[in-house]
Parts: sequence; C-alpha cells; structure tokens
Amino acid sequence: MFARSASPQLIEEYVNTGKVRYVFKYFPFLGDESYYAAEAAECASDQGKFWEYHDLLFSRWQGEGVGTFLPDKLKAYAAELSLDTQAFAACLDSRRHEATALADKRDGAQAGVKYTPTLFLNGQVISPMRDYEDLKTKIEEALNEGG
Amino acid sequence: MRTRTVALGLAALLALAVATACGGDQDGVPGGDSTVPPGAEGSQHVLGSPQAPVELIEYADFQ
Repeated sequence: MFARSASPQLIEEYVNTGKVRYVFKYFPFLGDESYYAAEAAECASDQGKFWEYHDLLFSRWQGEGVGTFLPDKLKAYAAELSLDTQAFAACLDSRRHEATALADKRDGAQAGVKYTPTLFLNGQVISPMRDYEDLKTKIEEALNEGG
Repeated sequence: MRTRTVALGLAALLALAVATACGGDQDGVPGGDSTVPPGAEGSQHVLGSPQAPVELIEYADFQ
C-alpha cells in the first residue's frame, strides 16, 4: 500500500522542500470498515490530529474486513494518541463525517478512480506505481517539465 | 395480452439492469454515491506549500 510505505520519504524529500503539495483523499470502497476508518480520521482531524491518526491507521492495517477498523478499535486508537476519547466516540458514533467520506468518494469516482491507491500528479493519473522510486521518477519528470 | 405482459416484464428487467449498472457502489455498503448529501464537501488534508510546482493527490482506503 503506497501510503504506508512511501509517504514518509515523499514528505521528507519533496513536500518539506517545497517541491510537492500533497493532498490526501478518502476512497472508501472495501466495505463498512473503510467508511468507519475514514470517518474516524475526520473525527481525529476535529481534534487537530489527522496526520497522526492517518499514520496510525496505516500502521495497523492487517487486511480487508478483518475487524481492524471497527468502531471500538478506532476509538482505542484515538486513546493511543491521547485524543479526547469522549468527544471522539461521540463524533464517530454520530456518523457526522460520513458525508465527507462520501463526497471524497464521489469526487474520486468522477475523476476516474476505481481502486486504491490512485495517484494524480498535476491532474494526471500516474498509478499504479511499482514503488517509491517509480513515483520519484514521475515527480522529477514533472518538476523538469515545470522548470 | 400475454405479449404485452411479457414486454412489460422485459422492460422492468431492463430498467433494473440499467439502474444496477449506474448505481455507483459495487461494495454494497451504506453510503453509495447516490446518498451523498447535496452540497457535501470533501476533505481538506493538505501538506506542503500552495506554491509547490507539483501537486500530488492520493485517493486511498485505509483498509
């Protein structure tokens, strides 16, 4: 999965150096747990901890539909990050961020996303990528075209 | 009469097939694309400078 393996390198090498602006979008398409995880990430975002929670979720990935992202687990992950667990639980149980996940998915589908991860580089689909080096090559090409 | 009934049945099946093909989600979970509330906006999680020459958008599923 791209986000687990390559993002830290990408952030360090290109985002932190001002070369790349990185945008993360949800595309929940593998069942209920996909939606729960996306909504939980939004609940963490409400408390200013989106990226920490994002990284934690990818680190806990074990497979599809295996229970890793059921609500009770997602609440436990929030506690690990010292979030306000009561507020987080209320947020997640309310499903208040379902619309955000749905809107991302709608936008992705309209842009042609059919699987994850799907990457757009300056508006053009570049996935599937073999590895970070593959992505790096594409980024360098784009930087050279722009410069 | 029977011909008309068969025709109506076929039309209903055709309509169902079209609706299924155009219905968005294939995963059968609540929250198919047709249920996106009007005016719902997507997430805003961005790292990096707005002036960066390259924009990389990742669509991902945590699963």
